[in-house]
Amino acid sequence: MHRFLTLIPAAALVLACQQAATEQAETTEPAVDLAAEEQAIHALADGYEEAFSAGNVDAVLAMYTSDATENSPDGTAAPAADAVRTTMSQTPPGSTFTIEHEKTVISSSGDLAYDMGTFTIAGTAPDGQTFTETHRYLVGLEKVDGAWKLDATMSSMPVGAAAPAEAP
Amino acid sequence: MRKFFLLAPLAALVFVACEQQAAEQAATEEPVVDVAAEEQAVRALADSYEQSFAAKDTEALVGYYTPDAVWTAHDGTRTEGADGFRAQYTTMFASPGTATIEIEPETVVVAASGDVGYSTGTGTVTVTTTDGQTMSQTTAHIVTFAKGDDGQWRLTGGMDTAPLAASPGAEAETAPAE
Repeated sequence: MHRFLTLIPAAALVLACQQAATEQAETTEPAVDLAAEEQAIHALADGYEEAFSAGNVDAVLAMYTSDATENSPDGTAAPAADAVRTTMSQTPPGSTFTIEHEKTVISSSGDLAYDMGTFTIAGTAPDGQTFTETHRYLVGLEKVDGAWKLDATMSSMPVGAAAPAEAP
Repeated sequence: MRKFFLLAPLAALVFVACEQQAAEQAATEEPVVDVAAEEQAVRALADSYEQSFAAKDTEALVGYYTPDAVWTAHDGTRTEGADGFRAQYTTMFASPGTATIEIEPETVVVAASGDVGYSTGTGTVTVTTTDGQTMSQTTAHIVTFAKGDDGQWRLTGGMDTAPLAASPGAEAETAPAE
């Protein structure tokens, strides 16, 4: 019994040690699931495709940070809100917008990323001619309140064969 | 007193084990990143790049890029990898005269983990030929960065625009020959 009582303080020390270790573990950031983050960024792109193709300006703008900028290949820089409204107003209704990712890089902290690839806009112009334009893009993304947002974007002039096709 | 002598070694053992456990845990955790310092390091990279450019040091310039870096121009053409960048700088520096670049970072964003970042800004390239003619062009860009295992930031890619309309060198300037 005496020996048992002697061990109690030691047991208390072990418990305190364990508790400190647990608290330290709880304050450590959980590991980021980079594959899941990449999926989330690609899902954002899927949403962008749908919103742009549907002509839903507000839904597209909701995918940008509040101070996002968009740089056109001609060197024009504008707040994303203005640039997106202009681009979408100039795109014939019914056009489709598709994105092909080439590379998505995410920080190990899961709060910053960039993505590059191509996007294609296809549709029918008011004069009846169909068109398909593919551009390269590079975007910087930030996670804001748990959601990925476009922060800085730039795109190239159309690449490849972008000549308008004859209407059937 | 006897109780003290009995407990002291035990307590010391537990204490040492606890400290060791804490030290091991701390060693496996990522160190806290000074994001402001990392942003400064990215800006310093631009300064260093300017110096290498002015020195026409092609190999130093190639060393600023990761081996798989890709740069996309406004017309969609791309420069990729060390060979691609080496060829680009070799062509650019083939003419006699001086060439400088002035990089103005507007935003520099670095992840909390300090391993990925991007920057927006402008770059002005000024070329002065041996007969005194000067041409200058300013373009806007996005540049992406990653920090290597050696602790060095490198460019992983980027994209630039056509010369800006307000660029003083959107059209060639001619200075009188000395």
